[in-house]
Amino acid sequence: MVVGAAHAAPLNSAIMTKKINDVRISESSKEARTAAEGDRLTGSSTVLTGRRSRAELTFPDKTITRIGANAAFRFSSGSRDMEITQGSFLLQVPKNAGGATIRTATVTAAITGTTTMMEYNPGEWMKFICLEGTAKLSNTKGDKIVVPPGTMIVMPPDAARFPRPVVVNIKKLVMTSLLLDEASFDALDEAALAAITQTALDQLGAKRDGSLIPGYIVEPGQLPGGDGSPGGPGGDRTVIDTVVTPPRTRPHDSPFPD
Amino acid sequence: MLFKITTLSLIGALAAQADILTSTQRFFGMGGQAPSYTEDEQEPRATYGLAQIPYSDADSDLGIQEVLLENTGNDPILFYFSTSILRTDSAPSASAPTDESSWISASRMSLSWRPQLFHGWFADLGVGEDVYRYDRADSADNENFNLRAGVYKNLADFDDTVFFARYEYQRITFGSLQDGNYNAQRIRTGLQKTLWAIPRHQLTGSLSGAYEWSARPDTLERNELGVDLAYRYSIVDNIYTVLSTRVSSYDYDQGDREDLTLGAMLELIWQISPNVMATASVSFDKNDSDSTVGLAALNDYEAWSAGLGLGLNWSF
Repeated sequence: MVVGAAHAAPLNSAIMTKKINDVRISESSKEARTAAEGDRLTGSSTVLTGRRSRAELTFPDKTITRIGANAAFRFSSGSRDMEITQGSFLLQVPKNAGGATIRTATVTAAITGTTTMMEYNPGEWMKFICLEGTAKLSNTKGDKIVVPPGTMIVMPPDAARFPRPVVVNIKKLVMTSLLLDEASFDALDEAALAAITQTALDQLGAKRDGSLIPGYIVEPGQLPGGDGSPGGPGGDRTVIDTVVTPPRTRPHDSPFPD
Repeated sequence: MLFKITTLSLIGALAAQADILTSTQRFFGMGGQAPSYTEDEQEPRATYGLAQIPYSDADSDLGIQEVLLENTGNDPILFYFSTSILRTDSAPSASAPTDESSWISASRMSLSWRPQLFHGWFADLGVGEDVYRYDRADSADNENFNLRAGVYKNLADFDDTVFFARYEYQRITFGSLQDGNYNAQRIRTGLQKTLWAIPRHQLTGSLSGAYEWSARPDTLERNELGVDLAYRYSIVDNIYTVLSTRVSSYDYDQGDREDLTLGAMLELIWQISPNVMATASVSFDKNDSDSTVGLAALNDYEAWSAGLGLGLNWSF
């Protein structure tokens, strides 16, 4: 089911390279403690983030994990497995590294040399976005799907089968994602950035030739409530009044000449 | 930054950077509960007719997820029919010197087709007829026929601004489809832009100009400059509100007449299924014309209207 990570060197530790607001670390049976930048995570560690809080873990092979707000993310040393029980995160695995496996209660993602983002909230939504590279998803009910770059999967977490991936505007996503915000985090690996930029340029080209159409565009010139015809619900009053209506008196004008 | 942020995208970017994608949802009490979709319903057309990813708790972290629809080359013909019952405080009268309140029955039927031409240019062909009937015997029952043929293109290098240009023919009759009491031919062109789009919120604006080269009667030949703004808020996946406004300035060729028209409408729309919608609306329309005969204004009006409607659409 999971390929790519099997023969690679395991990840034995991670360094917390960024900590924004309320971030805690829970190690094995110990009570959760407040995290600090430079903390080394070994063994089985869970990173917990609070509201408006984010964290970044960097592994020895330059694999980067950025954890979003209100998340619970677990890493076990000696494997290349990561687990998220709720919240969102970004995972960037360098091309020559051994890939990684992301596990949730219902969906597993296998990635190699890929930059992805994922949200998993039980009872709500599972979103998986492939920024560059390719990812393979499988679920506990035996369904599998390949997610190409520039596309995303969105579905209830316990769905029996995966829906078709939809193309998502990568440029807009990168510009607005807090997990890619360069005011908070360092720039991603250059090769990954180049690949993400290429995905965005491919989408721009497809929009130019009409093979991709922004979903927010409404019918041209046919805005809700305004179809280019004046007058309101009774018809084109500027015409009707002139053609058929006898002269009318302004409500506040005197009917008599001065 | 990976990309240069264009001015028009700045609002959306700031919205996310300020972490409001998530907090706005919470403010509106939308806790992010996923509906129970069947397997066939799992494609993310979360809001019918608006290709948008459903919002979720982590939208601030993930960023704005704008769907790019794949053009399959299958260009269906769209058929639309709607009917509504409205009450207005100012119905145009064919005999009385003042307007009075009235019920209105308004129906619309239209066909449109937008096949791709080449290099991102699409044709925009359409024909439609509106029929208005008032309950007052002396009111101006009328039919408004429209035909359009034009092109449009998404300008991807200008932050997905849409350019459109089309020929329009309009014909108004009063109770009889045979006798044309008014007709006009014009060219309309303009730009349309989604100014702001975050989960559940969308603000769209357009600027257009219309040059009219023939009208009957001649006194109604005019040119128009119009501005549209429409704000859409999705309450839940298939119920949304639209607040729209249109301001038009008309410059008539004869008589030094100039009109300024304002239309504003608040609609509550329930998308019952992909093909059926129910609407409730309140609107205000006002025309301020400098056309006068002595102290009598021929063409000024103010009208409040409200009502309920039903819309159906098919594609084939």
